[in-house]
Amino acid sequence: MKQDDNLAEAIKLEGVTKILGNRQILKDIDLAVKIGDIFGYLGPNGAGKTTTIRVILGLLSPNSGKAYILGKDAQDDAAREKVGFVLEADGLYDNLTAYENLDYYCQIYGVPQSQAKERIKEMLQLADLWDRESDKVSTYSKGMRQKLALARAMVHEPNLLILDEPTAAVDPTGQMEVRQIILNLAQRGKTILLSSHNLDEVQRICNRIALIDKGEIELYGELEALRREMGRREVVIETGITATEQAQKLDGLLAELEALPYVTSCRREAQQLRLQLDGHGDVSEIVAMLSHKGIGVEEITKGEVSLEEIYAKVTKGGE
Amino acid sequence: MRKVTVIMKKDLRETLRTKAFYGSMGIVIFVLVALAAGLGRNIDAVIEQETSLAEITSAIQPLMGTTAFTLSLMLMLLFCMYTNAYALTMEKVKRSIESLLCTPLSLRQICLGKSLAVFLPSVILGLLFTFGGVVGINQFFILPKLGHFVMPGAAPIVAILIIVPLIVFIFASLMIALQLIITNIHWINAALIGLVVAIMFGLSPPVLEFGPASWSIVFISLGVAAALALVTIYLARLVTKERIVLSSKG
Repeated sequence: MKQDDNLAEAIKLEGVTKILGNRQILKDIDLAVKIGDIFGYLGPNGAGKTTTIRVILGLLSPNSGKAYILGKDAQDDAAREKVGFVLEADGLYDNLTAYENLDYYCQIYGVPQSQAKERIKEMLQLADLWDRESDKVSTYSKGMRQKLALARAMVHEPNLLILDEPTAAVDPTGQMEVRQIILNLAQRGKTILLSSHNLDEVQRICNRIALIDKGEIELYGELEALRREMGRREVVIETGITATEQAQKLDGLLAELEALPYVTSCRREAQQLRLQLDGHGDVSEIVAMLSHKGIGVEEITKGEVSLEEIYAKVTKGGE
Repeated sequence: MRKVTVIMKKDLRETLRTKAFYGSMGIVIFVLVALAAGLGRNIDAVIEQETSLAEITSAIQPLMGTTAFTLSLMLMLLFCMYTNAYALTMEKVKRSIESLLCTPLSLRQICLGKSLAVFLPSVILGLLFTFGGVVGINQFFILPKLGHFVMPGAAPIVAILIIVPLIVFIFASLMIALQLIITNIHWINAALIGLVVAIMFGLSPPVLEFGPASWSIVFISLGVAAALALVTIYLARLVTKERIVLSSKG
């Protein structure tokens, strides 16, 4: 998919290939996360999400191609000065308190001592952990750890946040809290790359997505545009049928509607007619057919394909 | 250098909060007491054999030198193994090292910080316990019989203050390099214990042959340090972020 060259890119991968052992984990990946994006990075287990993130964070060097973060080569240590991250392993120190964990990273990032205290307090409050600031991290639940990891990722005010499955293995309440923190961060104008299995989470938070499967980017672009463009869409027609006779007429019409080339499925639910159309479906033709049979149309609602459907279609389509 | 200090301070803080570290102190005190008791018997035997005070002193001094040299090396290497558990082993096992590698810190800063976090407490504690042991042996076994302290000679003191810490620093760096790039931490720990034993036993024959009062032992120790340094330099070239990440659990 084409990029808007006028927008600066927080992350850019150009033809990145990564081979580990005999396996090609990433196959010539091109990807760009624009400044201000909340970018969802999706894919099944073993698709290459974590490897991509490791390349972006300079942990792995690509066999070919280039990775850039905030305009600098990802292999350059200085490139990560304004990058925050939450990895699969939270990387917290169990024998240190929440405050000390954040203070350690403040010192690593060179946050001045005069500002560090305030920053740590602000971040711990954002993560709703301020009342536990002096507790050792070993006493924290998984959800609290993830919130603390997010607070740590933000403590040096990064411009870019890279989150690798931040809600994995967290209970539903913890997931909601972590998601809320991510939304708060997004509202602060941070660029976020969110790798996740949770499609609902990505659908709620992200404006752009990429879907990786077997090391290749299968889908990439604005989420809303993809939902509009991708494959079939649902149309719900509220008919004016009242009598059993009319319902029978409508049932009789179902076979005719299903025979239309752009209708993939069709069913009646009481007065409603639910149709799945492909991208080029023509609703006016269907309305005309209904009118011809003497069935009135009261309302037409167009549904959009969900991210879950897009995901299923792309990942299964490749198999 | 400031960032290196940050890593070192955090590792020290973690180490000082562990029970295992204080457990190691208990072991060291036990070893010291056992060693002092054994040495006390040797000193008694020397006092019985020799006639003049000067002869007794000159016979005891090499004994003190051998004890202090061996003790310092053994204690420093032992503390090295303990402090390393939190400076690196836990970082590797819990994969917090990955997070550290994602910061703007360079690999060199991380390795140096970790090496110093292992080296400094090991040397400080090793020296404290060694000189504490020497003073204790003097206080309980020598002073009551001779009326004065007998300290190790110049050569063992130079070895204890300079050469042994140098060996320990190189050993700490070697240990960290190995642990960073090899997946099976248990194998490495076993190999490192083997290396500690090899260093101890490797230095024992020359110590016994030349005596710790001899400067030869200083040069032999320097040779050991140089050999370890060569291995460490070779290993350091293999340490890359990619190797560290791929050899981490998970």
